Amino acid sequence: MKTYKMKDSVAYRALGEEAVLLNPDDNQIHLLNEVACYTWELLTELRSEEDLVNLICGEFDVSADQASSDASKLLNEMNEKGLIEVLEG
Amino acid sequence: MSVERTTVSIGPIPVTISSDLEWIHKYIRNHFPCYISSGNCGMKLSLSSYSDIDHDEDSAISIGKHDDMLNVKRGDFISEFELGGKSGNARIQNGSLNGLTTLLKFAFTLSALNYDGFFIHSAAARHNDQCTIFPGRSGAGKTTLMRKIRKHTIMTDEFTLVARSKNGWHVYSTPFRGELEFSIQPQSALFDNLMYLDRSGTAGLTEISHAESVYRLIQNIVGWGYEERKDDLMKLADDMVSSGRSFTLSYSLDEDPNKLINLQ
Repeated sequence: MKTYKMKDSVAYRALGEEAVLLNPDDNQIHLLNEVACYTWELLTELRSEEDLVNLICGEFDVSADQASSDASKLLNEMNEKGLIEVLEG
Repeated sequence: MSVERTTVSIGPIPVTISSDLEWIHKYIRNHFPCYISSGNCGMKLSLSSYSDIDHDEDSAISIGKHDDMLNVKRGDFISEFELGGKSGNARIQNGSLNGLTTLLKFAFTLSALNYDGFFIHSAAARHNDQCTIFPGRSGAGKTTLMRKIRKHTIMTDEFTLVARSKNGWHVYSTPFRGELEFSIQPQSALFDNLMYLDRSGTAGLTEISHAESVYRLIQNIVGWGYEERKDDLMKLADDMVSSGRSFTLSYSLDEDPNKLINLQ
């Protein structure tokens, strides 16, 4: 099972319900919406996608299917942009 | 000629140029007379002659970091700046005005954070001592917009300084102009609004969230890529955005943007 964690080097600045992330490896800035902010804060610890989906469903008024699709998309995007670590097994 | 010193100040930021090259001091006296200040402080920038290779200011600029230094090199100059913005030294081809301007921009950009400020790729215009900033990279439409504005006074068309003081955020004109001809006199005004030029959006003025504004602003901060103190810069950008309102401004070329700008 894959687990995910934020990279310690990425700087995070909360701005109301949204936030910006700074990846020092490529100097890119990323804007996070409310759900992405919540997910990012959960990634201070190692989490599986299933964990994240359950926690998102508990926090926001979304179906499990929608939360699963959103979490999967977000994790892929964060991984592609070098913002998170992905651990196998 | 013995070493002469000239201090150029933009808003609260001084840079003192120290050089035995007469053309440098003459150029500054002739072109930035209103930005020369007395005193001898701020970043110390030492300039000497560079005659090793042919003058080529059109070659690509190369920027690298080594220890606490920023190394900047182009065909017409070779330089290194202390990343904390305290000192710099460069060798420059004789008579390269473009090289001198580029070196001054680096010196001011690196110093700005020491004065709670930063430079933005933007135009700025004031009305009744309140300033609207129009961030945008080259080609975003800043010059086109500045040519059309009527009620506001142009402060800058490509390079704007913002700095925090006890009574809020101030916007300062700079001696670095783009294509437009307008007053070179130093001007300052209180920061009021940010309007991000957006050519792809629906025509109109649309208020955007605080976070989106910080995100957009950071992408237009001069020197963001090489600044070591990014977290401090991000905090400053956040604070500045909090002190005004932020919009996207979209209009077609045959439209009068004054109606939109004056809506806020």
